[in-house]
Amino acid sequence: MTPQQKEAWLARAMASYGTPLLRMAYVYLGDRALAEDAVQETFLKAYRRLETFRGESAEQTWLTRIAINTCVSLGRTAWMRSVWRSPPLDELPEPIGEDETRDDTVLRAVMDLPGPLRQVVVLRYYQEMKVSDVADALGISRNAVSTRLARARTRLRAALKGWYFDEQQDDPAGDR
Amino acid sequence: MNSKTIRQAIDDRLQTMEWHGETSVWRSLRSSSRGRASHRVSVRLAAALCAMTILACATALAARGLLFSPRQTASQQAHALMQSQYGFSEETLALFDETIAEDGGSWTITFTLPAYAEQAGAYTVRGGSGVARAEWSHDGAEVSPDAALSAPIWGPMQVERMRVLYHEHAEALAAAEAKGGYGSLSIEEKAAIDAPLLELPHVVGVIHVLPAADDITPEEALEEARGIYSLERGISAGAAAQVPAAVSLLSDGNESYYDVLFTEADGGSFRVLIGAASAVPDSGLRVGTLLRVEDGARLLYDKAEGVNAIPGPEEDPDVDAMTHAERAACAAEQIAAGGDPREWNYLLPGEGDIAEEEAVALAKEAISARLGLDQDALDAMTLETRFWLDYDLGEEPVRAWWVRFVDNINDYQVTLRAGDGRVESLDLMDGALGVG
Repeated sequence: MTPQQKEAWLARAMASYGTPLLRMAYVYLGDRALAEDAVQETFLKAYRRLETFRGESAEQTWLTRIAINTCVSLGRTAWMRSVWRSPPLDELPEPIGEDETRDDTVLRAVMDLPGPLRQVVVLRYYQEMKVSDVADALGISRNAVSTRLARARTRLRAALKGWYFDEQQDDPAGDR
Repeated sequence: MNSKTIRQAIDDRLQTMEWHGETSVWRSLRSSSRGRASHRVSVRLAAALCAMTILACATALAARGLLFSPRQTASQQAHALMQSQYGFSEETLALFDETIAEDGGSWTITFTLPAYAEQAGAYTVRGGSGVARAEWSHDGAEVSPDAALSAPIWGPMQVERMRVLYHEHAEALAAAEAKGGYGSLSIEEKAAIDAPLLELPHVVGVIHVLPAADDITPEEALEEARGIYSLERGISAGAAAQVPAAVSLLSDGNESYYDVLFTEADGGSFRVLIGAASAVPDSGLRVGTLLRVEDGARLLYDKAEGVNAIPGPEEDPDVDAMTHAERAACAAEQIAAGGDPREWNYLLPGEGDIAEEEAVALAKEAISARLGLDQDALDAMTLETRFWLDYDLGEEPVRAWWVRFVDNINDYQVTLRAGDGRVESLDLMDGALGVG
């Protein structure tokens, strides 16, 4: 692949996936600036590894894997844990639209989950990846993913009581 | 009581959060290509150490309305001018690579479109002292009134068309993923999703395509890949056929190739990349050139990089003892395993090729005419024939018969075009005389 082709791919990928990846990284990291960093890092890594992308998954899935690994790596960094703190959600720009869209309940519930549980919830329910793909992306077994999802659902059920669990039982993805 | 999924609820809340970090990515790439890749790390560490100070300063500056640096202010002015003068939207401007140069109190910002700089030209905005001005390297040139990307010059309309193309492509991919998983799509479905990108002047990255008329088929590529897989794993063809395999056909703008991925029950994977074009065109052989073999993360073979960790056969097969059909099959196997098509050039004669008997008769006539030998003398010699692609008869390989009469003293070799029986060469490999 020529450098020109790689740059064309990068321009297209950034235009198409930048925003979805930023939101995912934000939900995972809980910090806008770090999420921006993670997305930038994701595209740089993807650009450098473009030759290894073979097309067995959609571009977005491939980029999501890189992004989540970048987020995991950023999340592990000691200085980030000690220096940066998640800004309150109130600092987020107000959404445009009905009052319903200003509801922070779900976002806050997900962001309050412990890291390992938040990882699987973000990938499974926000990125809507299959359990097997989540396992691949995180480098853990499918059983481990299922166990973490079950634990996360228990916590979300408590946090989102009255929000929709009473109607949708126990599948927050709504895709049983 | 809410019917939203988690995804919908989060997306609604974060709807105003958009990413506009393209310029930073381009800048980092340019920096790293100049050998300054480590710069980011030191910036990050410095940021960590000074985090509290920065926050405090930012708060103070924001209170005074001075939050934006001069660079940011310049960038904002340049964006505003690009929008008012040329009609770009902010979304479209995000596609551009933006570079800034400062000189004293003045600044120059250049916008170029990666990969399509020739078509889109360069926009230069100068400011700092007096009114900011923008100019375009294609100013004055005729810009097509429609958005077709085949136009030699792209104005804002064509760049917007490119953005829409990218956006629609991403939506189509997301829809396919939501529908049931991209990995389960057929080659045709994947190619249909990527087809709109072919509207661009050159192929963008790696895209899924359909096989060309002369390409090997997905089934043939899969069979070839299975052969390599069974050899490497030391299992039978039947056992290899039980291992699930996904076949994609990709193009990187230069060539198309099949990507065959075997997924094993224990989570292992094995990947084979095979050129879609026949390795031996016009030969009737249906094999593609082996490009790459990966066993999990281990690279076994890469044609371009010259890596070959695939153990070859213990010894070369004895082609002399084979029939034409066995030789052709053996050649196909060798090519599939990475052998050189010029070495493994055996074929079977097909329609339009003269028969073996006719080739032998024509060879005898040629030798007799040149050497005055009678047919009986030739009949007393050992006859050998080969049917192959001859790479030495011209620029393109030629389907040819090679006929040899040999005894203890003489060795006559005749090469004839298979299409019309024309004698291309007659070699006298006489050991006593040492001539050829």
